[in-house]
Amino acid sequence: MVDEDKRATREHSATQQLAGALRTLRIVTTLSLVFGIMAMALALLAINVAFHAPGGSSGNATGNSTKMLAGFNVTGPLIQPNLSSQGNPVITQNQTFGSRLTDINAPLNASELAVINNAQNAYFEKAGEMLLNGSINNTVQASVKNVNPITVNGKLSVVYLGSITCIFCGENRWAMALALSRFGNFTYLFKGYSSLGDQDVPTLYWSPATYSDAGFTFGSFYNSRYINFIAMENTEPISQGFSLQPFATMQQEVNATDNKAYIDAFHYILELNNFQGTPYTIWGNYQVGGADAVVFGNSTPQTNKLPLTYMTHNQVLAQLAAPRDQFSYSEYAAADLYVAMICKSMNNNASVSACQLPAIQKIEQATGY
Amino acid sequence: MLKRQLKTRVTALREIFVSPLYVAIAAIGVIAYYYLFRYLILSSNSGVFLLTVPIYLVYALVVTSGVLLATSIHNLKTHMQLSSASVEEGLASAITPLIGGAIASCGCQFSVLASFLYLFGIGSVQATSIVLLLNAYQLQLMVVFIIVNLLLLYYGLGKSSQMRTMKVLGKSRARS
Repeated sequence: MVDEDKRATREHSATQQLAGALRTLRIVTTLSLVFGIMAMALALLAINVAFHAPGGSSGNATGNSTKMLAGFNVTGPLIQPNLSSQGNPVITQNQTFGSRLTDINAPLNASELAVINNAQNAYFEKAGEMLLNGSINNTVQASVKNVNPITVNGKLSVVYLGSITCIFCGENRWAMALALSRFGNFTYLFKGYSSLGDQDVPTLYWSPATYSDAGFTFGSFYNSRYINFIAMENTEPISQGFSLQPFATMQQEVNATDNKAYIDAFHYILELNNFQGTPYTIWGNYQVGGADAVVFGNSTPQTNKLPLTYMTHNQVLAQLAAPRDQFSYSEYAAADLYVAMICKSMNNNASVSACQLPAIQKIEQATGY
Repeated sequence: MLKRQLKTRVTALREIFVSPLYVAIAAIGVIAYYYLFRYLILSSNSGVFLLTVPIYLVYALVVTSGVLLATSIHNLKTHMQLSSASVEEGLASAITPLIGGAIASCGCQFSVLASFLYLFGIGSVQATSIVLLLNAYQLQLMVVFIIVNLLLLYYGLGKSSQMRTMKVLGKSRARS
């Protein structure tokens, strides 16, 4: 009898323990269920918002007006940067792709610069036609908002805010340089790279970068009768990954330049309050969120290895000098979008030959700029 | 004592995965979570699979999540056999790949992650700061998520082992 009682007690205790264990498991799984469903729902909603909201990363050029802040008109000089950066010399050593900084901060020589400055209108025209008839393999489309322009010394402005550590800035500067070359020319451009932790793609810098320190470089060596180029480049140690300083820090750096055009341009970016990543550009009446193209090779790469990472600057320039492949035509097509934005902002100024290109005018109509 | 606990859990794990059903569930979970992760990266980077954390961390995350999914389902099934309570599914394994996929890429494009934050009324400048902070610690966060999965697995296997013991006791009582 005593044994039976003991056994009954043991079994009762085991049952209670089991009930306790089940209760705990129930709480944990219920919470997991709740969090899991919330996370799934938020993720799906966020992706939906990202895709379908105006200016989303996959959005087409909408030309929609958003916050139409008053633009501003400034009179005064722009920043002229130095031709070299102390403590950030040109690296001459030949290094392996993927961790390569060979020729960083080296100025383009005359023939290299001519590839950009003297690019033929015919290449822009052909790329534009290819873009319009859907035969560009890479993604070339801009997420655009109408804004009031920034005018400096009576001329429209192109504003650029980016980072040397940013891969999309890296690939997009080629197209930007080509676009700007339609309205003026560069007396200097410099060889550069995105950060080693951000795929190390070869690119152009507007001025020598302080690639070993956190900071900002301002200005460029661009000259034009028609437009200004206000370039602001966040710099971080390029041997690491993507990094961008907080806006408050960036604003302090900009204010320290004491240059009204740059101070007002940065303030305008903050007022627009639609920053969604770098590069952030304004082309006359059009603010563009992110790069207007994704060009890392002849088509969108399906793996983490990007063809552009394994190209030298000379190879990229050779392709741009005589475009024959999807990579080079995609760069020209990306440039065409920017050219169309400026042309539209200038009411297709008759003295700018690029604005008279049929492809540019068709792009203006097709995109609704 | 830790050694004994680990041995118990390893036994529980082996008992779960002796069944082809749970092996299949884990495999499907791993594949699904990998493609979910990949989808989030592609969405954030205009269709480019731009991974800025080592790929082996991604594999570790999706494998631990898949195994966790299978053990969660096993525990729920066992729960059903012992109680008439309503069915609940453990989806803890879904959360870590979701968040991992949103942060394990270039922080220069904010689309998916920023969209989360905009839903809570956070402005673009503040959202930028949050995204950049997460981006700066993406490697560490991935490791944390893997550890979270392993801890949940440890906990779940402990409960599974406990329930199995109770079940055996219950059967022997019924026989006697």
